[in-house]
Amino acid sequence: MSLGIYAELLAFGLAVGGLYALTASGLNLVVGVMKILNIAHGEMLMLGAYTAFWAFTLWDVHPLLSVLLTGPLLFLLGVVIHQLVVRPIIRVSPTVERLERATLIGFFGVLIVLQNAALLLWTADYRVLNVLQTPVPGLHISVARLAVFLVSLALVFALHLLLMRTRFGKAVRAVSQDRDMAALLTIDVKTIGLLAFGLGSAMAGLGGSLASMIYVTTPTMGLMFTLKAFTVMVVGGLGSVLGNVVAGLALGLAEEFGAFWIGEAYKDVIDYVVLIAVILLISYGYLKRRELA
Amino acid sequence: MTDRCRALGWAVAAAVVASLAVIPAGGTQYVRSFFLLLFMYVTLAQSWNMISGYTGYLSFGHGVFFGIGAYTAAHLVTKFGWPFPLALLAAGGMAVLAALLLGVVFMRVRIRVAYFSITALGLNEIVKTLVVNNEWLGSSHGLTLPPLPYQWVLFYLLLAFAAASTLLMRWVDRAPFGLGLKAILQDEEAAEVNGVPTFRLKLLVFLVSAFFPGITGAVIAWHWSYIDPYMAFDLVISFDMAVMTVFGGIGTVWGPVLGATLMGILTETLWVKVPNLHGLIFGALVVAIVVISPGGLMEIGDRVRRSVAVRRWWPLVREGESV
Repeated sequence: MSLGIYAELLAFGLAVGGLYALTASGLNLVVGVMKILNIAHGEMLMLGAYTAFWAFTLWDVHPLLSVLLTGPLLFLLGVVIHQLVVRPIIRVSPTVERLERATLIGFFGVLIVLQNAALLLWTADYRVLNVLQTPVPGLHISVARLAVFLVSLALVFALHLLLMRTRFGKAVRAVSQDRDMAALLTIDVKTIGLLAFGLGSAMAGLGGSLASMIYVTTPTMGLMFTLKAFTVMVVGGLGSVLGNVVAGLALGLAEEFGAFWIGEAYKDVIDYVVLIAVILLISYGYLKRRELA
Repeated sequence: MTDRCRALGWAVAAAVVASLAVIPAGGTQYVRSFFLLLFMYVTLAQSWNMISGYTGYLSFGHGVFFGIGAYTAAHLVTKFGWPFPLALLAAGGMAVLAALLLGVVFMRVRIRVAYFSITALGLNEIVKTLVVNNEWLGSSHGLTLPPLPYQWVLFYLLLAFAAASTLLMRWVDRAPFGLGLKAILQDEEAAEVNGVPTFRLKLLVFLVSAFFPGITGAVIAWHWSYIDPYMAFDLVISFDMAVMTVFGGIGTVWGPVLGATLMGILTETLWVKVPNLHGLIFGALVVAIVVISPGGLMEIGDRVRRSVAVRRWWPLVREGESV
């Protein structure tokens, strides 16, 4: 009996952990290449979740299939935001410190715009998708959660392959390691930055498609995903896709088991405590991590 | 000339405060509550500016101190029967205590601005979750406050907070304390090396920046006469104080006043027609400001003033100022 509960917690934790890894991989890519932190990353996930919800409600598109829609859509949005917000900020910021603050404030503005746009368009009502809620036989988990877990990991793995096995991926890694040197080697760093930002947004959108299956979709759902993705990114290490997977799964498990012992409502609090602990460990020098910028 | 300018400035400021002070006597209920909210915006924006504008540590969830203040006051009055003035002080004290807790761990060492900002962004939501799930704190039901015999006190309190926070920042801006903060903003490592006690300065300014939202929250709780976690810890409060400051001019004394006034008017007029539309406009304005002129309206005004002064309209440029 009690073993069954633990199996269930394990399955739940892995499922959300996979989703966290997916969300973090997009954030990680942008931070790595552009050295800027997108605090509106979760809002992009929220837009992906709404896209999946409406695609299902209006046209009966299955949420798992809607990744074909949310990916390109959010890629486009990412490109637009990059051209309208990120590039001008980089142009007017003279120092690294100024750039860091300016981008934080800029993305803060983007966050407010996206959240309020969602509120205006779709109101604050909770949206729930009822798909694949039947349990997998023999496993204490719904088909939806299993699907979210598998698809998340598949997408993260696809990103990993893209970064490790293609010329584009090689260029991305080069720019992350040393922007100036990459530019000297005739890599078009601006275009790589643009594509990486679009790709990072697309990853958030894909996460949104999956999140709509196991979470309640609301205009304010993004903030917690940003925090979780950030936690996973910091724990897993910058530029490390596989490190993110491990950290994402670990956070998902910590959340589910912690919630089981402390209380269901304290999931986000557990994550937050982990986040603070990790930041303190890094800041006080007990944990070595590659610098953000 | 500068002396005369300064005297004129003080006279104008005094006249504005004095004319605001007679509003309760003449204005309607709507006008009174409109100005009361305006004072709230000015105080909150000014508080956000203290930590975020002067040290560069962007405190995106600063509304948490407003909520803590509101809850402390409401709780002490409803459950323990504290008198209003004492509850107000306790509200400020609790906010400062929370900031102390956070500040001691987060400002002891040099922490990345991005780390601080994203942690601050989550703080408000986390404290809200804790309150919603705490039976003793009233969970999501909220608390109803007993009516005050004289509502006009709240108006004058908020006017006083707005004036006090602005005066304080005007003093800090020129005092050694403020210079230390600006040194931290420009290059914290260099400031530390040159003997600026960075930890002490950062912590102190963080505590003060938490105190004002704390007492403002207490007063607003009375104004609302009922609070629940979703009102007291509304993310919009955190968003507004940052947006208004950035719009008016981050890191300046009068920017938050200007931004809070203009955006407060915009909020109150738009809210009646289309709720949430003002949020959309605010966000877009913040992005526009960061891209076009990171110093906000104050910087834009300064540019205009200088370009006019170049055309030899002499009184607009102070002595010794390069054009």
